[in-house]
Amino acid sequence: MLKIIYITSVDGFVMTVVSNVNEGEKKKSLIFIPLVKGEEEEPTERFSDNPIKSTQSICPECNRIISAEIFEREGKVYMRKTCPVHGETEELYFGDYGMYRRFSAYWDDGKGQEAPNVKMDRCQCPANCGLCTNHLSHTGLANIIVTNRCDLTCWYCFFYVKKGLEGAYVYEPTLEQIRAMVRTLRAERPVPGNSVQITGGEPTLRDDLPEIIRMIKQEGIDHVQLNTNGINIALHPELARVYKEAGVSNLYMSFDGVTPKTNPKNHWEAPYAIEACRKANLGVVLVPTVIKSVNDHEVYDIIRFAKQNIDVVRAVNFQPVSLTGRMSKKEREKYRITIPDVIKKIEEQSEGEIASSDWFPVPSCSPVTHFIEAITNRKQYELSIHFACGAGTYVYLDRENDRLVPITRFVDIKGLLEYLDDVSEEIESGSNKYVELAKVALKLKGFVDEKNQPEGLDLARLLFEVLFKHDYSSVGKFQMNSLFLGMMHFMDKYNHDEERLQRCDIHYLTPDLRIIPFCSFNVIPEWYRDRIQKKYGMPVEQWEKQHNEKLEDRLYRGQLRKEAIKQGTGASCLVNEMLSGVNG
Amino acid sequence: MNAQAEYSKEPFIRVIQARKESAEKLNFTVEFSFPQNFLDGITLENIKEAYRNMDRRIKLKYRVSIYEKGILFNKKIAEKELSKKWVLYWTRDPTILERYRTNIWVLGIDENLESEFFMDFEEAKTFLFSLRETFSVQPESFADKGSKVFAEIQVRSHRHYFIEAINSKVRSATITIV
Ligand code: SF4
Ligand code: SF4
Repeated sequence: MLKIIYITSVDGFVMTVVSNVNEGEKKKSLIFIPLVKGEEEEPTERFSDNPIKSTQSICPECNRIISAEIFEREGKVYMRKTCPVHGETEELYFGDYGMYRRFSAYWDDGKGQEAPNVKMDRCQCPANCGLCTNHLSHTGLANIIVTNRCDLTCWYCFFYVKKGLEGAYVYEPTLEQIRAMVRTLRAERPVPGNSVQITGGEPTLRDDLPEIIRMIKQEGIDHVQLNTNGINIALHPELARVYKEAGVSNLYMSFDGVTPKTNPKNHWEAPYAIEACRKANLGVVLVPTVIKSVNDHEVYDIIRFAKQNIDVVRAVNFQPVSLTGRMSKKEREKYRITIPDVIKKIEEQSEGEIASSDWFPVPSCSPVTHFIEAITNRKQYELSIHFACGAGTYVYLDRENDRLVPITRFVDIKGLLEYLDDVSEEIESGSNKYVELAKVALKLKGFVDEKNQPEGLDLARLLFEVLFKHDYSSVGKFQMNSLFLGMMHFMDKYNHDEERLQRCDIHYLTPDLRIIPFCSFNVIPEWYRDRIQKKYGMPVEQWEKQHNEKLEDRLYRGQLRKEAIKQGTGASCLVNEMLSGVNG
Repeated sequence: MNAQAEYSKEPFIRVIQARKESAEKLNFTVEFSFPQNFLDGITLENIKEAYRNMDRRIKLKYRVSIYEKGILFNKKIAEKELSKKWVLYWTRDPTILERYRTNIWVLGIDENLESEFFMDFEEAKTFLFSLRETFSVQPESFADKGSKVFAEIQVRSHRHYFIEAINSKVRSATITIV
């Protein structure tokens, strides 16, 4: 059976990977469809457009900073922009206008950071990232790329070094460079960065990874997340324990679907990696990239897979696809999916078990931060990204009925957030802090409907601990009892919104000691990622000579996959067991 | 700190309609707004100052009550509480930048916790500092056609960079239910 598994577009071609799936065996072929450079896009009927606001964006062809209109049409929100040279681009921005209005009500500009690396009076996002004076969020999660080598060779991926390509280089910062990056993060004020994601390429290919992890912890970072495809951990299960002991808080593992078709990357290997983490008591976050018409029909199955493994899987973080390279409007429409679309798919596929109304935008956490700041009189860690960037909800397992129960079904979240905002205002306007706190403690239970709360859960108590102890461990405890469902829609050149970028809190640390927002680092690699990695990397040949090793020596050759398919045991058996649980 | 907007006269309030639709339903429409000189005192300059000082959320809580006028006592026949907010934010909207030469702008949040985007500053002020509410109530033995009714609005807000704390109660003139 022929099935499209991935699409992208490079240098004027749309490339389509077609897999020929025959009893688990897969052959890939590439189909190249040429595109006309600078292709004119079809003008769209505009009589029903309802303008919302304007913003700034970039031209997807030449990166020129241009104005963009955000408008509503037939219940969806679009972005339209015109480059004087390359013409008009129209793109779906947010798949539901009602959700756009509900989410934007939680808009909250952050404190930013007071120690910018790039001092600018008037910044020109995305041209001055570093962070600059005008950036509005401190770092929520700092990515450190420890290598751009990978044990897989996914053809659509731009993150790893491809041997044979002209000018290919290996980027592997030294331990001392990494230490300096972490110190830059810790120097952020008023809130020193506290959360790091080690990423790649495939970070587990670095033999000194445990040493890197220990060093990051020694520098005072509480949360260390390891971004991996899980293959190496599946092959060497003892690594899970090694990383855990070194200080990793959780794995952040790619997981695009529950079938070999939708998840060709690690379908057979992921269960082994999860099992290794289970034994090492190391939490896992599953990370599906969602592509319309490719794997969006499996979003709820992925949640069910997580539910089956809720003892070790802490979260599922969906990432609606970011479309790289040059693509026609038609192609984009085929694959473009936004946060509301994924949320609605989950609602449909779960038959309302997890509904659209259960989701909140990331900045809805702000009232909790404001409250803690009001009672401690100290600036706190906050999640002040743009409302269109991310969303989330907590779900709890009702073991009796084997159902997931979203937190909104037994906690009046809206009411609680409004109430916390009011109390913070009271305290800031001079009301007695202790009287207000006593009132909150008494009132907290009123927001929790104990009758509908899953058995064994005392959410009022957990909330009390988060609000009154407000330390890393009470937040951890709150999360331990649940499965967090999250979304982050990384931008691309078509939907780039500088208003979102200015609020970004997912950053990259670089050896030149800059801190660069994810959606400039990866969306304009020619200005950031590629330029920096080239500067601090070395040619492949030099790396091979220095390490007495060939780049391809560490490639994964499908050992687990082949074995599992041949014997009908091992991973395939494990997957089938899980899937029969999922589907049965 | 910039001068804060102050009242120099009472806010404006009136019941613009009190109608008995049927035996089961009475409709009232109430209109309220702060005096113009108060609104004029709120400028984009002091909005910027507030933003810089992290004073970025301004919430007004309204309590609207309808009374039937009695000889000895007035009887409350309907009440509604609602709140509206402004969130100050850094905009990258080129049209606002061009028109007002500011990058600090306001987003409105209505009583249903949904946003309102504005292109015009006066429109944003009207959103937060005025009200037009329609009530539908089920009358009991009182408040029939010919009864006299009036509205009372209590509005509260904390002190902010550009406004003093607000806590005022105003009462409309009476009108007759038709
Ligand atoms: S995205 Fe942030 S760091 Fe980059 S130019 Fe804009 S404000 Fe500055
Ligand atoms: S990484 Fe992109 S999508 Fe995520 S917060 Fe930053 S700007 Fe938004």
